[in-house]
Amino acid sequence: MHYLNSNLFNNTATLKNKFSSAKPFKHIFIENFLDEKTVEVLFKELKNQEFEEKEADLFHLYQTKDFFNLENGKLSEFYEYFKGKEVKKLIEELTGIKLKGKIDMAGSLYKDTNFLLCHDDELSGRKIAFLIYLPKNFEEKDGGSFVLFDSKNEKPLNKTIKYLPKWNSFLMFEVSKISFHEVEEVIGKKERYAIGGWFH
Amino acid sequence: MIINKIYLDYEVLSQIGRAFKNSNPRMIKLDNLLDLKFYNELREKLNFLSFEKTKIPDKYSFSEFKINNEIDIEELGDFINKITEKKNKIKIKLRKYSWKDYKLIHDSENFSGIKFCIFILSEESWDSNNGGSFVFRSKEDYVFSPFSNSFFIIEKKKDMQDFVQYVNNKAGNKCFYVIEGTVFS
Repeated sequence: MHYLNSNLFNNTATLKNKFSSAKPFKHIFIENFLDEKTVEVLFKELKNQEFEEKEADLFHLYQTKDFFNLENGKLSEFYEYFKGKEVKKLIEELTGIKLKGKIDMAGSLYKDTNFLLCHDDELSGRKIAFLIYLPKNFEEKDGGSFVLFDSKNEKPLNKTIKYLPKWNSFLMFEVSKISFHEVEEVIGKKERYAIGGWFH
Repeated sequence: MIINKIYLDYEVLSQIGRAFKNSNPRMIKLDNLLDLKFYNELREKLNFLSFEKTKIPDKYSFSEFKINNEIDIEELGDFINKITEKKNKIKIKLRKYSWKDYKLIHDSENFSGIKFCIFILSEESWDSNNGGSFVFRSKEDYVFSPFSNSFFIIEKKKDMQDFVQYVNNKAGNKCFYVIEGTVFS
């Protein structure tokens, strides 16, 4: 099975430059990230996963268990591929960051009123955060955008860049003391599915 | 007079004090705290005041108004002291929560002591599904949802964290005001 869009590998120098020069912190947003057939297969399986409601001061969303715990199926295979040598090499090349070959990966679902407020993702071992967006036809009015904040003295200030969670797009950023971001509240009936996690 | 006179009765106040003292954690919730005439006038007034938005994205977002003479702080302080059976000073803030507002748990917020709140709604009711509940978390959650003219007082211990739930789009144009108080020994 081909997982990534093969065009990615022809374009690494440009992507590397985009990542390292991005503001307000190192990140990149790539459209058409996965192979077209693969993304449909993964989405179909993701929708059949059990999502558990998670609610705290910072977030209200639904999440699957970590894909590490899946025993079989396409998502399990995708997890193994994503933590494997090919992706590790690609991410290291794009980011210039040495990885351990360990990842966390799970599915998330945001429904009406769900959100994730501003935070930096910093936790021991996390080097790169990643998201593969799988919602269909999300528009600005539907909410659910991924928002990056600029900062001063390691404190978040203003929203600077916003990415709509576009079908089969990939976003990754370097986890640091200034990687402040949020997911805007989803408004309405559309469901915002994604696969996300961290490279350690 | 700003406090509902029912709550100024000596026997009633003693009962409230005992209920507060005997609960674990120490807390109590009362409905119709403010005198109804005062409450309605205050609500009307608040709907026309210019609150100033204050936001630190990873800590809080709400609007605030600097209290001048809208609240009789001495009478309120006296009432709180009778519940807690102490003679302490209180400090109050007048805040407004509407869509997209919240207050997160934060390491820098290490206040332990007595906190209290009085809710004033912009309209008749507030659905708890809109968010905006005040949550005090230790081994379990103690949740106070905005309710017209309701009051709660709680002793926040060191192991307790508090936050205000994100106010979501279901709130629409509705908001609520809250007199947030702390007691200083």
